[in-house]
Amino acid sequence: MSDLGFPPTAETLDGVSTVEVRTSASAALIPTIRAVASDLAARADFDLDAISDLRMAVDEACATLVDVAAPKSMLRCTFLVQAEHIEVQAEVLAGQADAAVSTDTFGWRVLQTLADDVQALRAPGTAEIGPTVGIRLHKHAGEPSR
Amino acid sequence: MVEPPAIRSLRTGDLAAPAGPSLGKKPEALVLDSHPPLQTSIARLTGGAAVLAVVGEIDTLTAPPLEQALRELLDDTGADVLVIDLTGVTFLASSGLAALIQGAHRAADRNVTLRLVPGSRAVRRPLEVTGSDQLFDMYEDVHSAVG
Repeated sequence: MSDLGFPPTAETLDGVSTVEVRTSASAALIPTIRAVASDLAARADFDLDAISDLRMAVDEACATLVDVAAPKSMLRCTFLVQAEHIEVQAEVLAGQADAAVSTDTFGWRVLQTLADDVQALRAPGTAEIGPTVGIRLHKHAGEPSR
Repeated sequence: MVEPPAIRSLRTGDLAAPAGPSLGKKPEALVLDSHPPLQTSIARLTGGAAVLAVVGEIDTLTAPPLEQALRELLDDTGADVLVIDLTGVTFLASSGLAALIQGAHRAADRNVTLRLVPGSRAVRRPLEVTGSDQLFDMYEDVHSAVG
């Protein structure tokens, strides 16, 4: 499940801490993923508002993807933790060939507000694997004094 | 080795739901659910105020019950003032925000004053960062919201 070309290969990561969480694509497991997001941001010295924003952004991204995921499929969420900055990519196998992340929803607008940058991703299926949809987002650490 | 369960007309919606009837058919399967339930309680006060206290995490799974509790409260109560006490809420997702915003609109339609006690940053931050705080009268605690 790496159709969307993420994470980069080990050679290009250059010491960036990478954490990958894979769960059943079920809304009931999203609390676990957002807890990981919150923990990583806290350890990376994000300010309290930025921790809250990342936790909510990751929740939103995962909830959006679980909605379009194929039955019995997995949700993969990868965190690249850098100084002052965390990049997250979440992806699922799509349930429908034409599935895409809806970007005209209240949830997507909230996601755009919470993250410093957010993109919807999709990759067409191949003979071996179905179509993949994903969301990539960036969040900066914010003001350390806050 | 565990036999994979047979897939029979399972829809995406079934997977998004908490352990329900569709999962009850295979009791041998362990359904890991890290989801704590949302608790709501309603207190009606003399003087036409009601307090809806919410405890837990409001996300895509728990927002619908909150929405329903708000709708019922606004439809059946004669309260002029409804206080939503969110001091026990430890997470608020966009779906929860949407439920609160819908509640604000319903309250306005019924001439009910809706007051919010956001409590912690987990609630205050989502409201502020999305600008939704402008829709509500916010109070520091339930006592001042009721008074």
